[in-house]
Amino acid sequence: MSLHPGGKKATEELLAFADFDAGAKILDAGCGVGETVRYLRAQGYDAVGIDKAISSEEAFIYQGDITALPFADNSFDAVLCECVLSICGETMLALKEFARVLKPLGKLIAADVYIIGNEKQKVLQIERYSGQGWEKMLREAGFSLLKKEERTAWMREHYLQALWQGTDLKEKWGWDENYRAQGYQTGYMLWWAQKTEG
Amino acid sequence: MQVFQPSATFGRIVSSVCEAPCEAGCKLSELNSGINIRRLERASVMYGQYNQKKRFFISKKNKKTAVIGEDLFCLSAAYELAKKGYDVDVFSEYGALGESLDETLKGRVSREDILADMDIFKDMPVVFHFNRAPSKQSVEEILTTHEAVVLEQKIFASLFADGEIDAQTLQTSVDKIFTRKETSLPIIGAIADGKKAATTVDRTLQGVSVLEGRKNEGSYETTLYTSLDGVAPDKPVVPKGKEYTKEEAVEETQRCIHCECLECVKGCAYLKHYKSYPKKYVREIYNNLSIAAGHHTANTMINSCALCGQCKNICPFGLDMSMVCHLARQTMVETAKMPPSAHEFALLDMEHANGEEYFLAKHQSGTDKSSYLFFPGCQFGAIAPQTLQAIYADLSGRLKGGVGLMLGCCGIMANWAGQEAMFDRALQRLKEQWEELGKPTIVTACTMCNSVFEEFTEMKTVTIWQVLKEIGLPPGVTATSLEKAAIFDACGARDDEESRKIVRDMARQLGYEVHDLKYNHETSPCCGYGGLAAFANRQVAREMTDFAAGLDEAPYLTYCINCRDRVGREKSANHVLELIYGKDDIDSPSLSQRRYNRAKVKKQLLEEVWKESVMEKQNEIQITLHEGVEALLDERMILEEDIIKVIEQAEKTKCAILDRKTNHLIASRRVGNVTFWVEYEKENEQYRIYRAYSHRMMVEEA
Amino acid sequence: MEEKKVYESIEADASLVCGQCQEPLVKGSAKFSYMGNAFPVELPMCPKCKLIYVPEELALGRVLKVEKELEDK
Repeated sequence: MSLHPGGKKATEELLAFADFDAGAKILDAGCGVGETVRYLRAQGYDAVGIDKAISSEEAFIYQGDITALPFADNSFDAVLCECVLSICGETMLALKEFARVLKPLGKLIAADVYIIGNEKQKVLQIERYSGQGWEKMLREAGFSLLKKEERTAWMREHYLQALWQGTDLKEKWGWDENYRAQGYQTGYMLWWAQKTEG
Repeated sequence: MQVFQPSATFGRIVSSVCEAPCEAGCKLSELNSGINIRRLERASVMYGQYNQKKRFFISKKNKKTAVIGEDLFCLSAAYELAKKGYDVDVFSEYGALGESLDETLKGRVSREDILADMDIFKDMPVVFHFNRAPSKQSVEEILTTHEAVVLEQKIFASLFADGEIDAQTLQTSVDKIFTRKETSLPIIGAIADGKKAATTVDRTLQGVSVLEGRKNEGSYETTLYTSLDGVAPDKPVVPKGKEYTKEEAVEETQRCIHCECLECVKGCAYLKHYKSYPKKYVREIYNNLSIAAGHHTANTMINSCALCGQCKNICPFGLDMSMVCHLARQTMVETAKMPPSAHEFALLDMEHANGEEYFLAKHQSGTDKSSYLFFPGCQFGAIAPQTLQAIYADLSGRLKGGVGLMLGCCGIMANWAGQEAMFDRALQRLKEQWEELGKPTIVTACTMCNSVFEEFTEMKTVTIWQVLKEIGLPPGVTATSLEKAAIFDACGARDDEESRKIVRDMARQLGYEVHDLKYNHETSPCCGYGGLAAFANRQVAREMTDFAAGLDEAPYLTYCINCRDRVGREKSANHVLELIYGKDDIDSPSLSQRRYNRAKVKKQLLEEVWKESVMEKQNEIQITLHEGVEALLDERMILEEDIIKVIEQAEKTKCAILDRKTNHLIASRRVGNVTFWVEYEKENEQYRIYRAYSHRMMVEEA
Repeated sequence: MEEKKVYESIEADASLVCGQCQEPLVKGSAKFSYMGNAFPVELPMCPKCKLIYVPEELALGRVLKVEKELEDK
């Protein structure tokens, strides 16, 4: 099964709106086993991937931390990050790294879990990962939001599929489950953002 | 060493000369002699690796404190104050660090060990000022520049002859001065007091309560209960040389019995099953209940407890896992978090027992008044219908004033399931029937029914044991056996000492030489039926039964029909009432047979006792179970009536799948919340059943 | 190019036929559902009357496991 909600359909939708030129340089941050990277390369993009827990023979897959990217400043046309930012430990750091490696007006396309928070709740973590919290983080990291799409159904589907197949989702979804355990609802969102100039 | 080094400040000194008050506190000292802790500490210093790179994270407090004197108390206080982030000046009349100790410990601790122990001050904010003989004037000077001063006890005594010392906090009647009171245990006591003084200084300077939360500071008596049953007294290892060799030390450590209680776990297969102990279970259950959404990992554990109360009665402190699990179930039901499959079968069984096939409430035949009302319970009729009829015949013949009969369930099944509303409804219905019959005294045959009525209703009850004690055994029943037997006590009789006693007397009267099991009376284990454990977790219930049956070689005598049924599948077991009134031909009926038994006993009683004619429920479908299928059905909790429903529908609609290989038909039908599948073959006018299985998910064409 | 998602796909045993239609069972689209969740699967069924077959291994294996998981959610 695909390792992120929506599977290939999600990657396609993320790419469709961004509309990159052939040969565009794309980084898949938190690429897992590199399925999406290979797909992107097959589509004619110059894609590379990085993941904390991967050791790959393939030259375009790097082992590394998305909060400390081993890439030069202004070197990518796009960064793709599916369902990784929320669990990478240092979301802000990672976003700033994305901004650093992106060329001016380069695009960040991200998909992740957000907390459908209670407005009255003033818990820092909840605010930070609410829909508004995510947008604030994007702004602070130097991005302007182009578009967002709610895709909670994908998450549900992904979750049920994993349940049926007996896949252990603790590592990937422990974050989500932790908030749901506290009584918050969670949703899934796609964001397209652009690196602000300068 | 990893354990010893961080916990003992001056490890080399302590391990050489500690008075070791702990050795007398060791549980083994009750048998012979405690573990030789001091020598083991010494061995760990000698043979272990001293980690020199000890680093503390110290948050600086920017306050100056002073220590005057250089004995173990003072050094310990200095070290602890520095650890808490204070700057410490130590004023000593000696010329170098360790000199004072060298003098007092001469010949007992080597100079090298003393100096090595002084290394802990290396990276600490402690400054030593030597050759500073203490005087009243110097102390007063120091008090002007430091916020607190810890004084060696003998210096305090000489400078402040009238000064008073609070033994608990080590504060003195002199402001900002702290010292030690005790002079006993000059080694370990002094080090402990140094730590205590530092804590008091810290709290004083931080402006927080000096006393709060210090009840268990230092050593205190443990509340841990550890049984020495089965521990043979042994002798401590005596070192051949001055101290232990490595091998001798290892040998001595092996004497340790690893103090722990676990008394309740030893007696309960359920508590054993989850490989931990109640404190952890309670935490897990608490966590389980506080989760709003997400995986409730402890559900099955909560539903596997027999709720029998054995643990509470074993525990020296009365910890009651039954109550915890029971409350957890009630909470789960209230918050709609109870897994639907957990108790459904049992609750449907209760519905059956209180439904038209079994429920009955009548005055004794030919009367319109009852002094008594016999209530055998839901499982007695299911497991031992013939015995039930014999008991009723006897009671209605010998008790005066009319003996009515009420067949049904007391509601405990719903109570166990955490279904309070359902439980209340069941009790309410029984109460109404009881009132209609003129509020007769209920005679219970099941200790569980009895305890339910006593705890939750105002209905007056007597147990069948009290009745039989009063009126004697039926005529003709005499002592026939000279067997030995062990009494297996029922969980329903936890608070019913009288029944437990009468049952034993009666067994003797019947000729048995009875003895108690290791776990007996109020601490007997569950047979595996209690708390609906067998419905929620067959495996754990099985383990409970095996544990119960394995406690003794002798045949068991029980006085609960469920105990007899479950234990009796593993070993020879009889219900005392079966010894008196006779046993049924099939004494371990299947789940389906139990239902037939209930219907049959009601029908027979109505026909034979009340002379009413009863229409027999005729199934048009007659089934035969292929070899092995009966056990399979019980395992899967599928009733023959479910199978009949499947076949009825399949034969009517012709909706079935044919397996050409075997010529068997496979059909399914949704009954309640379950889809049942049956593989069968029509054989003359009968249907032969080869297989049945079920699932709760709905399936449909997409 | 919407991909069709199926969590489980079970081939029909060649010896199984619909008792009524006499048609051999074939693999068809079905859906399991429990406690408000749906699971798309492919199961043996009659091509004509759509009678579905749930094999024992599936019922007592995956289906039971998922039931328990959902009940504990």
